[in-house]
Amino acid sequence: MQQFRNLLKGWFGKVLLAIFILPFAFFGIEGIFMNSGRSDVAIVVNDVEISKPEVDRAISAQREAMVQRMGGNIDGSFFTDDMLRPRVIESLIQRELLSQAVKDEGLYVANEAIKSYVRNMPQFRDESTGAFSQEKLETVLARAGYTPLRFYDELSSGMVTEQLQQAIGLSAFATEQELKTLVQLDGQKRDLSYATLKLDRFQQGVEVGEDDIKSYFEANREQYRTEERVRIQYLSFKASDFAADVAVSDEDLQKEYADYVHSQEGQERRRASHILVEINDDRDDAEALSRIQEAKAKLDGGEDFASVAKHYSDDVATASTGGDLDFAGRGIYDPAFDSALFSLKEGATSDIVKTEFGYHLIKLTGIESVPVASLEEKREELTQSVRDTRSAEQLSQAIDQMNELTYAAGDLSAVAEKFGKPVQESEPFSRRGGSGITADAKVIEAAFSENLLKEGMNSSAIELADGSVVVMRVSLHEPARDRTLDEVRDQVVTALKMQKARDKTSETAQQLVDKLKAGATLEALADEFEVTWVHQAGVGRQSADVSRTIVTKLFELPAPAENVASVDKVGLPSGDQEIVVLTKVTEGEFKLSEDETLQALLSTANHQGQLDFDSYIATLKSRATIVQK
Amino acid sequence: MDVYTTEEQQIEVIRKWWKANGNSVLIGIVVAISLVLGWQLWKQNNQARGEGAAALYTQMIESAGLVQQDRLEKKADELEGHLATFKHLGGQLKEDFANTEYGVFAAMLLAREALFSKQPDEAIAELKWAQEKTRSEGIRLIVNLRLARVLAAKGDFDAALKQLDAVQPGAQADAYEEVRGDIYLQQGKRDDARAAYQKAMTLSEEKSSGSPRPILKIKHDNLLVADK
Repeated sequence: MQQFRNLLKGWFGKVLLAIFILPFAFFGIEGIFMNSGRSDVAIVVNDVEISKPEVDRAISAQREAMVQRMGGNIDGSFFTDDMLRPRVIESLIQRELLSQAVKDEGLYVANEAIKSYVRNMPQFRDESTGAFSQEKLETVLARAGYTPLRFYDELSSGMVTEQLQQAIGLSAFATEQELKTLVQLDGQKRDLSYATLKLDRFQQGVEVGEDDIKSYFEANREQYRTEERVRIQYLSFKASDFAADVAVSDEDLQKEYADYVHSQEGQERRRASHILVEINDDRDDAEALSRIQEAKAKLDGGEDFASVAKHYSDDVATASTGGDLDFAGRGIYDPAFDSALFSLKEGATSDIVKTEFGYHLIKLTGIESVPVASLEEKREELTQSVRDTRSAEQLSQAIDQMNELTYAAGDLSAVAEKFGKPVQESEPFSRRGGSGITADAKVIEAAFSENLLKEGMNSSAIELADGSVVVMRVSLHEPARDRTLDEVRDQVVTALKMQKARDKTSETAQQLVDKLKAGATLEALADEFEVTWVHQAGVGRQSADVSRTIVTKLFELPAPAENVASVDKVGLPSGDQEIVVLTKVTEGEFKLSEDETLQALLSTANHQGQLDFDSYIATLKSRATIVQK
Repeated sequence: MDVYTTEEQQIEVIRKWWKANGNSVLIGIVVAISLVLGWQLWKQNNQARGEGAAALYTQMIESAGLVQQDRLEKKADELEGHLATFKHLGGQLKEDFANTEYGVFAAMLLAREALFSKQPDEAIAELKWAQEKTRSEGIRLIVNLRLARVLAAKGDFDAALKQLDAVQPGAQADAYEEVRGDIYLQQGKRDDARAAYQKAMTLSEEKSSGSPRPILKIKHDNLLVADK
């Protein structure tokens, strides 16, 4: 211990002290004590951790983007997490690699540049003024789940990544020789002969033996399994079931009518003219008040509203048109203005009204009212509306009772008795759903849930998409099972015959190909195999004269050599086989105008730039330590 | 371990210790603080310098865009001015920020421009400069491949192949093999070219676990030979 103390007294001690203090200066205390033991890590890229919630967030964002790309015509649940995960993880890894790379390579972006970029983003502009609004920025970010700090961070990382991408992409080039090769290859034309060997020729007279049938069935057992199915007992309720029990009193009707009248009146629009005297930098409250009083005195003295407006009003837009503001409904203007306008009689002018803009005098110049029907006219409609509301309330009260009655009960009889409805039973249905209520996603989910399927419990009350409410239990469960051969013999025989016919077609096509390669002529083979050759000259890579399958095969064939035919077969999904013979290759011409050359050079360079950037990322990735957990 | 019995004694011990060591402790603290301040200052300075380079680089990218636009729209007069700005900015970046990647980026951009104006030797000089200065393995490999392509464009196939063999392309091997195929094809060695393209296809499929790049496959298939 003494030795240790001596050690601390010397210069060594001072150095130690500095070493202890330094880390705090850089990382703060949290940096040292809180950097370990995170359990929700999904990916580690060179010691940087990407958390599971972050991956999940990125997956949902990706899903939303996919749905949007489909024009919103598809349900998001179509894209499962497992489907999206690999691509999302790949792109998160790439982003992290790039963000580390730009740090390593010492790329920067000025804070000012980021700020000015943000200020110019249309998302953050105030709708009314069109100018950048900090408040808008904060709301938009909060809605997207971002803090401003994290947003600026990601933005800055995105901007430096762009610098790197531009450096590689915009410096890429294509040499003239490279361009020439591409243009010649692209413009290449090929002559071909082709013939179709139809499957149906080989379908007749296919014999299948019992052993074949058995072994085919054994090999494809999985395909012949039944689906898991259930049958449910259920009770279904609609709000209208309760309508008969609802009594609508005269009082109810009066109240409903009053609401109706109120809402009609609320839609009334009024046309106002006004004179505005602003309180502003040049004019304080008292000055403004005395000026508006002066205007009011003129009006009281009988002067025309329009001429007073022209002289006194600070509302430049309306002063010259008699102060006219056109029609507007309630709630459009400042509350004080609003209540003054809607309490005026037509043609009358208000007292002085103060709003945040200054002092106004308001004249009511027109009323556009909405017709109000009499109680008698509306009686039936309003009675129905009261009844609907009440029945809906009754139904939602009934839900509580249903949940009580079904809970822990062995069947649905208690609910059936209570509400006087018979228990119904569905047709059996699979997880893909049936018809009627068994087509509803919530019903399917409940029917195949652990509780109903395995435990035999009743469901709680389920509200369906159409507003009705269902309680149910599973009355029959058919697990998936292998079918016996006897059940599916016909299907198996048909499938087996089809396969044999396909094999036969393909074998025959191969014979044809072999004979052509051995030197047989097209004509001779046309007779022997009863096929018809079609000849087509000058087929390009994008040609639509022959089917896509044939064009693709044609350009995968080697050029014909002396005494060696270039030929192959290609199968179609239907089982037909195409025999494709390449007879001649004509090199494309390199004949571009100066303009075309420039365009082609630029677009080829652009493409090359993308390849180069992919290469860059590949190098980053190969040198990084990436762990997926 | 020593035991100090009373409070006075303890205080006395601390006082003595401080008398003997106080100066050293103070000096230690001062040294630590100035180290930290120095580091912060250095960092700030670096940031300011980096931002300066970034601003210049952004201008260069903008002028590159203008140059391209002038060419497409055939505005000869404006092209001359924009090209001069572009080259000036590039030169300044290379001179003032030679030890940053911004200098490297500038050289890469200048190389493309040189090749575009049919001055391959100048392009080669820029690319060599970039290759020497860059600290990024990814960039070094990309620039090396570009060098080989410019050498091939000059017709110097041996030098081009040598350039390809000068590095270990690692994850970029597919791109390297494709260029090797291009060079062989130009030399008239069709079989070697096909083999190189084949290798490039295999490597690119391994890398992206998908189908090979379409152009690469077209180049390869075009060299197939019919057999019995």
